[in-house]
Amino acid sequence: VTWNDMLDNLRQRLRRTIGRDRGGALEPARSSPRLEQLGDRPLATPAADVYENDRELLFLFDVPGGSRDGATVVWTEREGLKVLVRSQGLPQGQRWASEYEPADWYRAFALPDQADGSKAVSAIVDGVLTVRVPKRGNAAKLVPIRGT
Amino acid sequence: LPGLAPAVDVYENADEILLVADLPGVASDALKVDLDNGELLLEATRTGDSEGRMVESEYGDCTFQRRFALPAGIDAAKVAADLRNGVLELHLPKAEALKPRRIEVRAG
Repeated sequence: VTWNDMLDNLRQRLRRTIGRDRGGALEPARSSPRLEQLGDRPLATPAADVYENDRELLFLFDVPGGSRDGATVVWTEREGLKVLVRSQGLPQGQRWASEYEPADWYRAFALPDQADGSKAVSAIVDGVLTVRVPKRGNAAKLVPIRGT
Repeated sequence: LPGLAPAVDVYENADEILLVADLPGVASDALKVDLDNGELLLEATRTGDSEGRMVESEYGDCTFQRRFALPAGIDAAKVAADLRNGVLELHLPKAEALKPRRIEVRAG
């Protein structure tokens, strides 16, 4: 059994556990180990807003033209949060005026320790990608003590 | 709200002029497209539902506005706007009289 087989197996089990399609609602972040290789077009950095409250961190990314099919959101403990969104192709016809070039959107953020990236959920609506990362609970837990 | 001019590409083919504008975060009911006396006005507003303290801001709520002078010969009645995934495609069909036509040559 190779390392890749083990990874594939783990990925399939994760997919079964988490479920991918929840009818457009917020869904768990998808995982892909080959994020940077997905884009064959130039990469552009999307503008981002980040909010924080007691429960979660909220990331908003401007990705006009991006849809759910072309979006990948990855979190790893070591590298943090990465998002990649493929842009749409250009229309046909003679171009008179051009202010943007086709590029894929890519951005990465390191997450603070209290953010639990494994429970992140994301959604893409009207060309805005939203990623919500909940914070780990800080409730005190009584540790049992064995012995006499 | 701060005002921004959205990035726009303009294309032309035999049938129409196509205007493509980046309007991320704008829902269709928050977009206004006005065509008046040869002038096209795009106006849109986006407002988010964020909660909590702002940590980093590059995006934010804003209004998008842009104005264009249109060439003569646009069929105003057939202008169609399509907003999908934060990108507006505005189709401005040319009037029949301006479309290229092939003239048949009759043999004498």
